[in-house]
Amino acid sequence: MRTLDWIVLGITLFAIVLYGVYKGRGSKNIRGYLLADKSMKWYTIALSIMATQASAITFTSTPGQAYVDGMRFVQFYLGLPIAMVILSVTAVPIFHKLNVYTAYEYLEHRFDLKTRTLTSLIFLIQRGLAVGITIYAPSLVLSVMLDIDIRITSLIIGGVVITYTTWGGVKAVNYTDFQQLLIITFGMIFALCATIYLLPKGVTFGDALHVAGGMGKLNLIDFSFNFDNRYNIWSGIFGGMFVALAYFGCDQSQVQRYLTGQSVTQSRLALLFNGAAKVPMQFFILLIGAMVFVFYQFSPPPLFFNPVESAKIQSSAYGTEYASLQKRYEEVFQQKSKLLQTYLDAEKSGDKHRIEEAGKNLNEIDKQAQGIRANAVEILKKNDTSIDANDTNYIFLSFVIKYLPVGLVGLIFACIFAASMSSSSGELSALATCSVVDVYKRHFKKQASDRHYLVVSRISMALWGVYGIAFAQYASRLGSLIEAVNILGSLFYGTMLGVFLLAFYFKWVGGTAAFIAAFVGEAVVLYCFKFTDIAWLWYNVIGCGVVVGVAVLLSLFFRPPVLSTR
Amino acid sequence: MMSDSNPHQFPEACEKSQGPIVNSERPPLFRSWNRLYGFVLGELVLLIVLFYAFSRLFQ
Repeated sequence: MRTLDWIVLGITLFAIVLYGVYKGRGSKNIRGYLLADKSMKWYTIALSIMATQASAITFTSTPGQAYVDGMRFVQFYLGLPIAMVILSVTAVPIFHKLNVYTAYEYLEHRFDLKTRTLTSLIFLIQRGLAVGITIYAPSLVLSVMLDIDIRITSLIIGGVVITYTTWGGVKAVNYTDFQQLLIITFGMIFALCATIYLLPKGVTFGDALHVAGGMGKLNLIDFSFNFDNRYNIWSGIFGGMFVALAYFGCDQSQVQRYLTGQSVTQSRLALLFNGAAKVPMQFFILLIGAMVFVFYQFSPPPLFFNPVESAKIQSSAYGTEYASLQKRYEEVFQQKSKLLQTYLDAEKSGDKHRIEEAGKNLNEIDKQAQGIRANAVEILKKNDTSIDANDTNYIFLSFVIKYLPVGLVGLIFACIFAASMSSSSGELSALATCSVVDVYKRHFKKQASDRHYLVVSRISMALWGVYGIAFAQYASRLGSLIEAVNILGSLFYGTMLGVFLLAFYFKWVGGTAAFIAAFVGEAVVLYCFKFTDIAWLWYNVIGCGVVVGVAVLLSLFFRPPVLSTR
Repeated sequence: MMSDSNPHQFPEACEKSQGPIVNSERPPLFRSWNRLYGFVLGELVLLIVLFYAFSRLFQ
């Protein structure tokens, strides 16, 4: 990065802190600090919801995913609009009517204290692990790309977030999220325009789409059904809907965003805006990845996109072997360039037979290039068994650093920092709220002044932030545990959603039935995870289904004891 | 006070919470909530059709 990029990055980060501190001023009580006095307008909440959901990895990994796997990932979001409508009808009015601070508080109103505590603890464990990853993952990518120690990048992200969240509470979180998403949107629009602009002269946007499509990167919709296939329209609509229902309906980091709405109307509008805007937004980010892919069909890509690992292997005992692969990769690239021109000429002629023939040749040579890349990864693994062989996160940023104009590089990195901060700030405020409202106030200090709870909330917010930074500092030593932590999050959502569905729709089901069913549902999900190949998107459907089914059965057969919980 | 509800009166609060929840406020667009929900779901269907057409066109 050049001086101007550092200036753009520095000014953006400084502006975020300043804006957060300014907007978060005046939170003098717990309601103001944790619920923003229920004063938020729908557009602030909507952008805050989207910013919290979109982590830094969304913006680094998603374009990389389109580069490697095509745009089919967009199907994962197809269930989200349906979930937004369902939640607008059910959860939003109930949460507003009961004036709750956390989603789990509602479960005590509906069931009992043990169910509230169980779900709140599940959330605290799951999100507590996630907040460390939310800081660690982008810190690692940024440290590699900017050539800075990971401790510094994680300290910058965590330090900035702690400053404005501890000071201003949820109000600061919502307003900075709003501002951060605007920065991200502009940054991404500029990135797409610059990528298209950087294509060789004579290659139009239409040509680029034909190349991407011909090489299988515009595979947006897949109607085939397969339980093991992670992304098809069915897993996207059904599995994705359950994920979104769980995330937006039971996860406090999202629920807290729309609990700050002035009214049911404002909260609903925010969720519905998210439902309408999320899919086009993901399409747009994936399109950037597809365009980067096309760009690298005309300009030689690196054999492996992680610059640190590439440098390491070149100076290792496997250096010669890797260099010969690199040479072969460059030769294949030259052959591919010629075939690409033939393909574009065929496209312009409109001759179907020629297009098919050229497309076939192009894909064959691309397979050769992919094979060389796979061999390179094998060598990297041989050299260092603990290496992260997935370079998807580095594809987009590697392109940004090498090819985008000065100033825009700083803006894109500011976007990645902003995205990381928006996610972790939402998580911190949610963790602090649950720790104080569901645990501290409910179990340890039931009667205390408002001022006391405000101070405890601030301390809790800061402590969760410090914990997140500490986790990020030591996460690299955890190795494959990081992956396990990521999977762990998806294992609990189905169970939590099941409990909430029981609360909303099954009025005759009591607290004990729901509590037992939650344990059974979790056991089934863990069994699926351990002993089957079912794609993780389906865990939410399975977990939720088992919880609802078991609770309903328990209520039918053991009605008197189950309902005697009151 | 942390919350308007008393934590020791939750069963009663539960009974109250199960009553019909009516939001009389209209959305600023489309005049009714059902129409707005219809718009969001209609957009989803349109996007799926467009994505499919997009994939086919450039395949």
